[in-house]
Amino acid sequence: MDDLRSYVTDLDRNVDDLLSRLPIFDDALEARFHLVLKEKKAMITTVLDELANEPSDDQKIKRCLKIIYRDDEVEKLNFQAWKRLCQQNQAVDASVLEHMEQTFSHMKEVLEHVAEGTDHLSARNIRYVAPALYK
Amino acid sequence: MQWGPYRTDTHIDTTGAVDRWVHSTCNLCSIGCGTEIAVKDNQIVGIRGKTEHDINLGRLDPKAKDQWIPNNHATRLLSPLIRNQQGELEEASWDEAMDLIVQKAKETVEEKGGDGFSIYSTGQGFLEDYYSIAKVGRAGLKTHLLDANTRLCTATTEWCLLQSFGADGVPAAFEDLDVAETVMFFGHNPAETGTVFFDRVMERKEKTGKPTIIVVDPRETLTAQHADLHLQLQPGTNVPLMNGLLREILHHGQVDQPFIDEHTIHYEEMKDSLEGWSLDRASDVTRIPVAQLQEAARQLGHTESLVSTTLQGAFQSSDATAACVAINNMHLARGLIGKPGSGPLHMAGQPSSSGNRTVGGVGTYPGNRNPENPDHLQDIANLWNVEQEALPVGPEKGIIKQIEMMEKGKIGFFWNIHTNPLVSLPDRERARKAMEDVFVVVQDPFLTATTDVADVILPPAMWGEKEGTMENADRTINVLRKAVEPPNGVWTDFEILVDFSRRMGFTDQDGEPLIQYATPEEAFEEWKRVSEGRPSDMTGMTYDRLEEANGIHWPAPKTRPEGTTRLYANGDFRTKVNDAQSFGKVMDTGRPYTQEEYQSFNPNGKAIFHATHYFGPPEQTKEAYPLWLNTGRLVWHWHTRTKTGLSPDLEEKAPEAFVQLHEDDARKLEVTDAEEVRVVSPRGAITVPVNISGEVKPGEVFIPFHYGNWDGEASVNELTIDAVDPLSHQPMLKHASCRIEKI
Repeated sequence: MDDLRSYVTDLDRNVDDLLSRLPIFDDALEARFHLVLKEKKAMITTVLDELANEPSDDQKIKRCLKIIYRDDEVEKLNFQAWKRLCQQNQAVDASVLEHMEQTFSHMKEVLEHVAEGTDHLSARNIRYVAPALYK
Repeated sequence: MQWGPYRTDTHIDTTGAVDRWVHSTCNLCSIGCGTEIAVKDNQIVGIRGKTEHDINLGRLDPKAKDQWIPNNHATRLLSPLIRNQQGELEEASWDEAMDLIVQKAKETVEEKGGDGFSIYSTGQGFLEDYYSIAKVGRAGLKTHLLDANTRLCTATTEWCLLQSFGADGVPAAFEDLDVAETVMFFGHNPAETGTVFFDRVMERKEKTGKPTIIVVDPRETLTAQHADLHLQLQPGTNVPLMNGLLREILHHGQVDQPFIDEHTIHYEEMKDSLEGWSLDRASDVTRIPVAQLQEAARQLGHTESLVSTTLQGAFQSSDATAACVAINNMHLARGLIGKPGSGPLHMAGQPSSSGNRTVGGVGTYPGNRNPENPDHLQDIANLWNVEQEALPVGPEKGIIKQIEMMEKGKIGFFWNIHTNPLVSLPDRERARKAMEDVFVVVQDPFLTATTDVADVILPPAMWGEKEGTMENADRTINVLRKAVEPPNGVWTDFEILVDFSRRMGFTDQDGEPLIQYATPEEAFEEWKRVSEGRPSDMTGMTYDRLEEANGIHWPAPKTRPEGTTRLYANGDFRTKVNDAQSFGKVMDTGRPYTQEEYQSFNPNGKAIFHATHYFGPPEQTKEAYPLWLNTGRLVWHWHTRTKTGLSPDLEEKAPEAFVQLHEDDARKLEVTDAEEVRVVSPRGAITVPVNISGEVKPGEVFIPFHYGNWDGEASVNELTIDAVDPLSHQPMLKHASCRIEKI
């Protein structure tokens, strides 16, 4: 069974990377996905703290993961629109956008792996946790 | 009668008497006017308003008078078309077309899963068709990709209602316009988009002096010209306006505290969030003079009854859901809801867009069921006799998200029903490229810009040639009778969907066909069972009763078959955790709340106040693009003119797009009226003639969105942005930056 901690640690690293780059253009869309990333960071921190406990509270972890998945989904909707506007208005360097795109995509892949089942949450119990496009 | 007199607007084109008049409803805007179709020699030859129909008293919109003309038009498609290997469209039989569709559908589901299949439908269909889409889509294909052009139209109505009241369904009804002391048209120009609705208000005003009319619109529209107070705000500032007004009302204690205490939650949080919004600040941001804001706040704070309508000026703007929720907040704070003459009346743009949401063809599960609630999915599983685990969890994905999915190769099949997205979607060049690599089916009576990318075209029956029901903007269900048989070679939408389900071999868990009804009326009877006990309960309706009553408002349960004019008269809202249609979303980000979070709010049947923070348009004007571009409708045309463009009279009145420009800007640019100019945005450019007008302010331009093809006809959606509202996912078509170049 895959280790949830390693996945969440991976997410944490990527969220930190994105947060360290913001604000960039500071428009309405960026402001929204910035807020989501901050919320995601807080949830990830809670999950990592909980995973350090023995035994961990898997219900609490599940509640946080639900939010992390939903954050991941909405942040990308706002990011993709923001990226297009940045490109159209030539507002942000293309390499920065590409790096952010890859980071967001990587986080989605990580969450897709989590949806396949981990040591704390089986795939059978993921139905109401992970949104449709992560399964 | 507060308005009137009765009339019988008629447009027929025949010699001698007609053979019969057949009960129907107008199939254009969202008002739902009662009509009768003139038939002679088994052909539709005209229309008249139904005099005794309460919604229109026999009136017809200018477009409605000509809506039968396309039925008989020479360009109508009468046979399916399949694109051959040379890229040309060839006539085909229905068997050939449906077999190909089913083959491609099976391949797509096999290769990409259910979420590789998208159905993008309409707000102009019948409930029976939408319900069939819901059943085929959810239980057959198992897809989340059920969307409609309602995403561009009134998705925000749904989301502001879910956020505040727990379920879809506008609280007020048109009848409330007849007794309201004040009516606020917020981003709504009914003088052009719903003329009969506007007549209703203005005829009462001429008779009685009431209501006081407030119009919120950046343009001095025909509606605004009739206002007692026109708040001509800066584009993208709806939320600052509402926050400023509501703070002022609260500051003066003009609230219904007992109502707030007994029937709402989160009032204090909402109130605290308004603290920075003095009228001075609201004036700075909206550029509306403080004196006008004071006058508006005074009227809204003192009026004893208030109907607030919203349409695209609210829905297609930035912070769309927040603005509409702010309006809900005002009604709740003042206790002006569920009473005669009071309530939010968030409009629909199309004749049956809300009906699509009600029965689950788009949005949540049928009967206002929550796709995140296991109990609601179990309800549907029981009603459809399918396994609960087989039903997709979670809401649909909007069209803009779907375009992204197409670009990433995630969608293999796109079924486009009665809509023309390659004119109506923002940044339409991008949308076209995305669709070019997908198997596209277009169901439309005519060739359109979207049929250019179609692999198969299915020609469906039109208005007057099929039977079914529609839901207008105030929850009224109307029945439309079949006046004539469709032309040879044409199927109804209903027949196409039922046939598709049969050919796909969709079954219930006993191996019986998933769809067992054979007629629209049988489908309606099944839908009624699904609706029982839910907010949109229609168990008290029948086709005959709908015709006799000239429409019935839902809910109309068996115990109240006459229907319900306005919602929430008892102050009970649909927010209990196991009743709510949605667990809601975070207002600032659109992140869906989880069931546990929603439960922790404990709304328990109370309405929910929300803080409405201002974010503003993501694209701002700048040196290279110094003008605000606004888009919208004209009184003479409907959507992308697939039908109204075939009426010689309507086409003559408004034959081409134009850019409306203030004379100060025209002078600066050294352009004159009717001179062709290039309008350029960061996404593209179009060439259109100038229309110098006082309707727009300096620094703003307006272009109607009805126009566009791939043969040189300019489309404003070459210029618009495809960012969406975080809650409703409705595109912000109302503001992009642009410049005008003299040619």
